[in-house]
Amino acid sequence: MIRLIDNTLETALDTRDWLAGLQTEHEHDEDISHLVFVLDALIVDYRRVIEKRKLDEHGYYGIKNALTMASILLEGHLTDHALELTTWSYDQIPTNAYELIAVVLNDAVMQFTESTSSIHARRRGFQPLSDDELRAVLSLL
Amino acid sequence: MISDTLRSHKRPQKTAMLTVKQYIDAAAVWRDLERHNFTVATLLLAGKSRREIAAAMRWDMTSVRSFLAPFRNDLHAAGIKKPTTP
Repeated sequence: MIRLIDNTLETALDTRDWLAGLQTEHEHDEDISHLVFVLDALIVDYRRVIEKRKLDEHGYYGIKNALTMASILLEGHLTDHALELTTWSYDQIPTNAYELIAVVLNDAVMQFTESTSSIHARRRGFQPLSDDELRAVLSLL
Repeated sequence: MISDTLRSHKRPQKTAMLTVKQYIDAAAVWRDLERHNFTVATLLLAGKSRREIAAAMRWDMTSVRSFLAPFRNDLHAAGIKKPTTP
């Protein structure tokens, strides 16, 4: 696997692990289970895009739309839980997980957008770097 | 136990990261270097120092530096900076 992935995916992975941890530490919460499932699916898609030999335009827009919709849904969820959020404290199930994931997904959409804004020419011949190649190119700095 | 730092989404990252765009730019720089001189690329890949590259290529250090400088500049232009340890 490509070692270097952007901040958003790393955060998503951290968030997914954190949510999975919550599942084991607290009583069953369907919302959290569903969010873990959604995050797993998005992470798989995200990796698929990054690891592809070429960043496929069709796939890119599909994932971007999915992330956008998920983000909107989560933000709606956040609004529904606004009262709980204002009273959330350390020892409660952190309902701000929804906010956290909405931020993560928003960041993901922004990064996808940024990645295609000025790299169309380079995308055509894009070949992912191995870990060693990445280390070598960064050694130039 | 839930870590206190989880209350903020601005947790420290585990490793130095690049954005997707920077990663693609770094890949382009590396492929460009490979096209210009595959031997130097192979030496870099093997973790050789500038001095070792100079010896292997029978170049002086100035030649090594001037060959690598444009690629380093491309990385800088893409906003890629030397990773710093936290």
